[in-house]
Amino acid sequence: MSKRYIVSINQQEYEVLLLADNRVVVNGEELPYHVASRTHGELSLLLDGLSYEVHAADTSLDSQTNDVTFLLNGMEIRATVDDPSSLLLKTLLRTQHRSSGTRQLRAPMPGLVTKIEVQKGEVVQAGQGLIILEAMKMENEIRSPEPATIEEIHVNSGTAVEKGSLLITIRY
Amino acid sequence: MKKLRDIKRLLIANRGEIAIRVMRACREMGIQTVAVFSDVDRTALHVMLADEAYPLNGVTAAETYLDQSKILDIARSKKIDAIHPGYGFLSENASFAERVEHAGIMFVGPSSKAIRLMGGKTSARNLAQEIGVPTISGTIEPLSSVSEGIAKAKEIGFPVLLKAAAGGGGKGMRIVSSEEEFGSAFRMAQAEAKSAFGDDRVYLEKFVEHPRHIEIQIIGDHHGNVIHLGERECSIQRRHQKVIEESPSPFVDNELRERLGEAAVRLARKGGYTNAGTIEFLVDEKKQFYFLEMNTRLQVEHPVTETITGLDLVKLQLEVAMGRELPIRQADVRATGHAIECRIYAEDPANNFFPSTGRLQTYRIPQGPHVRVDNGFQTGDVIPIHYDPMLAKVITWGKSRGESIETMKRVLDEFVVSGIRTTIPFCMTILEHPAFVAGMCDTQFVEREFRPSALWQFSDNDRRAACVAAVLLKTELRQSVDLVNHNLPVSNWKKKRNETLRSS
Repeated sequence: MSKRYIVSINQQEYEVLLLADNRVVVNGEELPYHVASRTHGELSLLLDGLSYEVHAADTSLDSQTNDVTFLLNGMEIRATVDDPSSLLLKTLLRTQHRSSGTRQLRAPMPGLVTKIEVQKGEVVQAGQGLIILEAMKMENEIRSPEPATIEEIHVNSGTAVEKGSLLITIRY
Repeated sequence: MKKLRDIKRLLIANRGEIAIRVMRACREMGIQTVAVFSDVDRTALHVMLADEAYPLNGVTAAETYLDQSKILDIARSKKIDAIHPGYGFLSENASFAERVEHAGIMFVGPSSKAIRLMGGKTSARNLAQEIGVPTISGTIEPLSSVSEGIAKAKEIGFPVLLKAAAGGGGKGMRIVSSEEEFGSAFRMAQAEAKSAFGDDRVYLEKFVEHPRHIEIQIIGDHHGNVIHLGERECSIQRRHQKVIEESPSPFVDNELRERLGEAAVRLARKGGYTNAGTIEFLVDEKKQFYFLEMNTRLQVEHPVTETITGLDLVKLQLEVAMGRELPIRQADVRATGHAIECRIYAEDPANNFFPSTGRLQTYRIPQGPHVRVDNGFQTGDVIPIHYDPMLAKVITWGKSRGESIETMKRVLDEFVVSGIRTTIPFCMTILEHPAFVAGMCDTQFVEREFRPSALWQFSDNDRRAACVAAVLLKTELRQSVDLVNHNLPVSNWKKKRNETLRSS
């Protein structure tokens, strides 16, 4: 019995069928494969004889989402893996268009907030700088991902933040 | 002349790969090594590899590797003969060097007086001008008006560069090529500087078109000998920091090398400079050079010079510090082949070189012929946010530039790092860039030529494999892969080494 998956990488979709006896079909092309693991999250994949080394990011293996991030022979890949049922669910959700809402911007790394460049209620453009975070002796600007209004600022200049700390809530 | 004095115990006031680099030279010379460490570096590789290690109690650079008193207290109480500062941290701090000298401890580097003179931008430039080494002309004081600016620009000659006094990062910078443009460019630079830094002061300097960053390694002893070891080209920079360095430079011919070397040696002599140092120049397309500044310490990229000359710069530094005469003269310096270095930083090249923090999940260092890796980390280490994010340097050698570049590409391919992002793919795209391969680079190369989209070049086979890997990771192997038992036996080799040293 085969299992069907839709893999999406860089906005491109691929159909993958896992067959029995170490055979796989990628977009209609059937290939032999073998996979072995030396340690958790690390794979050796032999696909039609070609040798690939795969290292999964820590978070990818534990997460409950369909996303996976890994290195394939040193190249970073972010993929979304859906089976037919999760795909159906997604299609249903997609039809309910989002119009507005809030989004929380979090610290991408631990650091020190050295400057807050906006005020509560301010209207900002996509790409506009919001907060300067200093880490590893370098200043890094946290920018607005989309045109929005500043709903709430959760930190002050001088606040030390951990990775993932809530910085700003924006309303789009 | 300096009295001969041996070094038996040396403290390294640094961390990461450079601390280990210094230890290696010490070990080969029979010198005992003493490391210091911050709280987050307790299990760092430089602590593991040292003969002895003492805590600096704290986390930030200011309360640890930059705390002069803590380091001096350890040096005094542990009967240290000499301190090597590495690069960064206290390496160019004249007052630290002075305190070390006063404590009767050798500072492996120039005298505090030479650091003050040659390390200071203004004093070093004045000295260069005094002995006829060209410098980039410009105003030292901010401009007060447009008319003053035009007068200065005419004096220096267009094109000129307007720069924010508070500046950095290219903000408030304007290139002006004629008198007509000056007024509006000046006002725009002022406005930009005001909004970026809250300070509208602007000064100007000669604009060097397509400048290359070329530096000369020098070393001097206490017996009046100063020699140079050729150049390193460091034009590949991001955030105005070097990432790829090489020697010899594809742009430097024998005639230019001689002129640069002569100027560097003359400057070092005039400054009473001893030990290893680097004189940095900007070189324009017409092979005119301008003195930029001197780094009064060992440079990150020193292995490039070591690789082609066969010299060990750290050993030479230690010998000079002990008062010995340099074992070689200028005529003995020979360079063979070509060497290139890539710096591996914990940064995300796809996201404006943002620092990438986290744990080194996989960290496999490349090997093979003509490869040198100076590394400070191992699998499982968490990269602290408090210090410079450089993990390692990779240096390759080849008979020709083409060969060392090919070897470097092979080596970077073998270097596997997971858990954080690094500059490895970035270096790869530079090494494959036709202009770089042709030796055509300047300090704006990365800004002008690098596109994050060039980082990953997938073949159809790669895409196919990525799909299969993604499915396997997400489904089949999520539960079924067991953790490998990590209780490995420890060899007693290190124990023996420590015992030998203690009893000696």
